[in-house]
Amino acid sequence: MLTSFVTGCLLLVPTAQAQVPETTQLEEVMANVRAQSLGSGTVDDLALPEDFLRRLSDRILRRSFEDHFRIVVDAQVAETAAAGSVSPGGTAAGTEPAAGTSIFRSVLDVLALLALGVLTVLAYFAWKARARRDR
Amino acid sequence: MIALVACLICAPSPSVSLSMPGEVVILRPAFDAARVEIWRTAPEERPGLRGFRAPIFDRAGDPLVLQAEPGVDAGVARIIAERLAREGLRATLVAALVRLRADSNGGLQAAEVAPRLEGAGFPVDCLRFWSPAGAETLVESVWKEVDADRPATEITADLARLNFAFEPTVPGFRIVTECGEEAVGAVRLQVSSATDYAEPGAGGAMDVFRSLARRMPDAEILVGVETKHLAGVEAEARSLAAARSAPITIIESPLPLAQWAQDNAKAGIVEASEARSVVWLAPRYASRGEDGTTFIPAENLALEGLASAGRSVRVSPLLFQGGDLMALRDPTNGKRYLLVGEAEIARNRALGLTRDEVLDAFRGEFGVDSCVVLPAVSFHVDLEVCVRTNSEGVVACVLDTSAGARVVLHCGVAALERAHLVDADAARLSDADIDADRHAEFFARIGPVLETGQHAAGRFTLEFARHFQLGDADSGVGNLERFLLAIDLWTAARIGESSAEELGLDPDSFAYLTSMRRREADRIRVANAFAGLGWKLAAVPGLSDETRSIDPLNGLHLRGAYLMPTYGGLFAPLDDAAETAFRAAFGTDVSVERVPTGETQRRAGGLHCAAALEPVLKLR
Repeated sequence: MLTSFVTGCLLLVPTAQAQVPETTQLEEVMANVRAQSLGSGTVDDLALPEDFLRRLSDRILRRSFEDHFRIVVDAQVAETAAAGSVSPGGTAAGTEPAAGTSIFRSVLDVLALLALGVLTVLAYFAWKARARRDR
Repeated sequence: MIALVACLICAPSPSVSLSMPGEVVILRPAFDAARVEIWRTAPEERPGLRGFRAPIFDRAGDPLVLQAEPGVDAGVARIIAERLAREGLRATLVAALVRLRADSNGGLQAAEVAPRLEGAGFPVDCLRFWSPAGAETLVESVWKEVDADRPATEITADLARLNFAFEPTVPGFRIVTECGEEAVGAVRLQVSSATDYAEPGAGGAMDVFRSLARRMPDAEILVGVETKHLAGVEAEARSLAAARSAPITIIESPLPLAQWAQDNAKAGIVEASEARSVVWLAPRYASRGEDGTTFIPAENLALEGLASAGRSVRVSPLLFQGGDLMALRDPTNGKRYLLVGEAEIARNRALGLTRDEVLDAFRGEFGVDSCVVLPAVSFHVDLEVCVRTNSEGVVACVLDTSAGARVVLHCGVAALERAHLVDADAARLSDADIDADRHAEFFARIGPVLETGQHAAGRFTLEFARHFQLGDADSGVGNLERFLLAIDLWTAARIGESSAEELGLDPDSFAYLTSMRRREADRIRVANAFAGLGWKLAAVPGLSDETRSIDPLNGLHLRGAYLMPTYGGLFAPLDDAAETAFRAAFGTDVSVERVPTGETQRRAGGLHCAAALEPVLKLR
């Protein structure tokens, strides 16, 4: 009954096919918080108590979800965004992540793709430069 | 050191204390221009130097340095950063000095040691709480032993036997309680913009200013304002002044100020001999954030502006954010309590204090008998609890989010009906579903309507959001977000212990909903803690979810009155429900008065976040 509500009104992201344990999301956020840069080290150096870290990570997790799936977007802006960018899966950015894909992981995927793009461009120029030298 | 010169534009006298009742005083603290430019370009960031202190007041001549200089004592700095929170100040001191000696190859003079440690981020000033008897500082005595090749383990063991003896920054300082027993002498605000976001009544910073200036005509209003907003705030102040007996003092800030005057200092009363005075105690540096402590330049410089208004401001060696501290006195036993958010404990553990030492320091610094540490259900305790005392004891008000969500759902259904997106029958049946907790039936009716309002899953159109706006001062976007939050809270309460697989939910949605369940469990823990202290609990309907809150608890307790922050607009019925709950909890001796704060709440704050009260000094 709950499922029919959730998926029926499309308030939540589409039903997953490949499930990931729930704790993974929270643990991922907690790990990200610990890994944040802080001076010469990371937030992990602060030795935040686990319960406190969990609570603030929960807050980040909720904020992130709400920023993605509980938002009001002007129709024109949404259309422009959808037309202008492409996700790693080749779908428009305005569509939801594929079932079972974490939104947090999606961000990493996009960053990885960008890095790959930059490397490709650099490699192209390096190849051109070498070709010029060889001539 | 940069001198502050208060320049009175409107009052004939250069002394604030001589200002006439009802007048408007403009203070323009004369900050050094070069210093202001440095501060203006300083980023809001977490200091890598753990011992960082805001260079204000008597430290105003110090450079604004938050990060270690690259390549300088890097090994020592790394030891300090890694060990301070885990091993504490004393053990880290020994390790850092051993490394410093090794790195300097014996070429370091004793007098150079403390500055080098400080430059590497060690909070040297905090060592005085363990200083052994004698003239030597702890740094000097430990350096001697390290320099004499005494094993570090032995030195550390010796240091571990020293007792922690916190020295209050202001001896006799007693933080002002916020439970309705103090008469208000002044209100401190920061107005972040001179224009209303939508129009007067939307509940932004200007509305808070207007409301408090009208409600407390005999209390001085101290308002921090960025230069570019000063003229607008001054014009408003002059229109308010006619009906007031106490002055409005506007303090110019060269840097943009946030609205949250509560966070950068706490007021207290100091009694010495026969004299009583008010002192504002500021943290080591004014900050925001939980995952570390982010230095906010403008909020620190604003404290010098406050001093230019004739206020005594002292800087504590401790870190704190004012909204995460709340004091009260239990009349049944006379004990003074300080409610402390757990983030404040973590902040000071990062300085190298243990949890017990932090609590000891807080008791001493704020003049209370006991600290009650609360989990960070919201980012500050003043979003989760407000306390009032009467002759029978303490009434602790906590949020009833499930009652709050129900009211919001009813309001949302009414909005959909007004927009003709559901007919009267569907609205009536939906209301009945809400009351009977029939959420599947509710969503069978309302779900398709919500679906039509989306571009994609969870992304709603502006046009749809406008259906939730009730009047020009209201926010359709903010209201739709709250309606969705109420739906999610209802859903979260229903999922029980089911797994994502059983519910057929994707991991992100499931993680979101279960995080809400954990938050509710934490709220119950807070309530149980208060009950355990023998305090009476009062559940007040409301929501606390950062920028999606409708939080009636973030108010101000005056003698005989509670100033309740309201949201208004579409969700005015929730304000009504909260007021009813407060009246029942406080009885007829306390009036509940409304202050519009909708826009302030849409920026994750509230009335208490925006206003800090200064008590009237009673003559002895």
